[in-house]
Amino acid sequence: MHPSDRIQFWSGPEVVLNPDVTLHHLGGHFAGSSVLLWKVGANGKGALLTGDTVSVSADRRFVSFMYSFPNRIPLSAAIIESVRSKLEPLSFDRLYGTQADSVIESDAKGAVLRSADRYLEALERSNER
Amino acid sequence: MNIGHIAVEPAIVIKTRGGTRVNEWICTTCGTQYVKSDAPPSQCSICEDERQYIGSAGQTWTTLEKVQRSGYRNAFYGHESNLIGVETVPEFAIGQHAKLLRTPHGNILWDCISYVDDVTVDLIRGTHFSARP
Repeated sequence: MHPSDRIQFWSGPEVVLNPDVTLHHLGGHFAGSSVLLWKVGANGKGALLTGDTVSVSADRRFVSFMYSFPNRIPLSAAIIESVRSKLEPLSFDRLYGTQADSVIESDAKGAVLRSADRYLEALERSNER
Repeated sequence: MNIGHIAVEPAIVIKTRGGTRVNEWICTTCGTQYVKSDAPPSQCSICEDERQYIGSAGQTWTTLEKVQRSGYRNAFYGHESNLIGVETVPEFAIGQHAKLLRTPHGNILWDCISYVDDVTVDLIRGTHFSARP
């Protein structure tokens, strides 16, 4: 990688970049994975920029969380619960993932929480269906 | 040209205002750029991680100059007011996009892409709030 004296590392649960933008540490995909909350985005309802940390699913109604996407390694229940608990206090209506079309246009917060719950249910399921 | 018996490809260097960036190797699989070295790194520490992978052709490297001469461009698209997506076309590495977030307090680039050129820098600088009349 490219060291630079212009790179500033940060720690803790969040960092305020400016009055409109905060970064929030979630972990999960990487131990340091973080998301960006744009408070005035989505017509003032809040927009979350997540990259691969919260990954928009193909149906754009759910998201998922993975340790590795290309090698298909999931995360544990304990980590999903931790990520969920860090997203729950954030206020946002829209979520932007990685690509042009990986966007949850509205009720993204609900979609994120439902997705975490669905993930936990899948991990606990004992019967095939 | 020839130096002794060794054929050497003449160096083609695109002049950029940021200075030349020769021999700063970019992994073609993940798009990570490394610090300057005469020879490419022996391995890519990103792709060696169990979360990533080495391409089926093995570890290969390029440089920003080579990518700039290979017809790549950045495309811009609007997500919503003050949020612009930046996508390299054709797709490069794992197809990363960046997001340019404009706020009255300054611009923020979120997510990383490997490809940059002068016009990308000009367009991003031109979106700064203070750059507007």
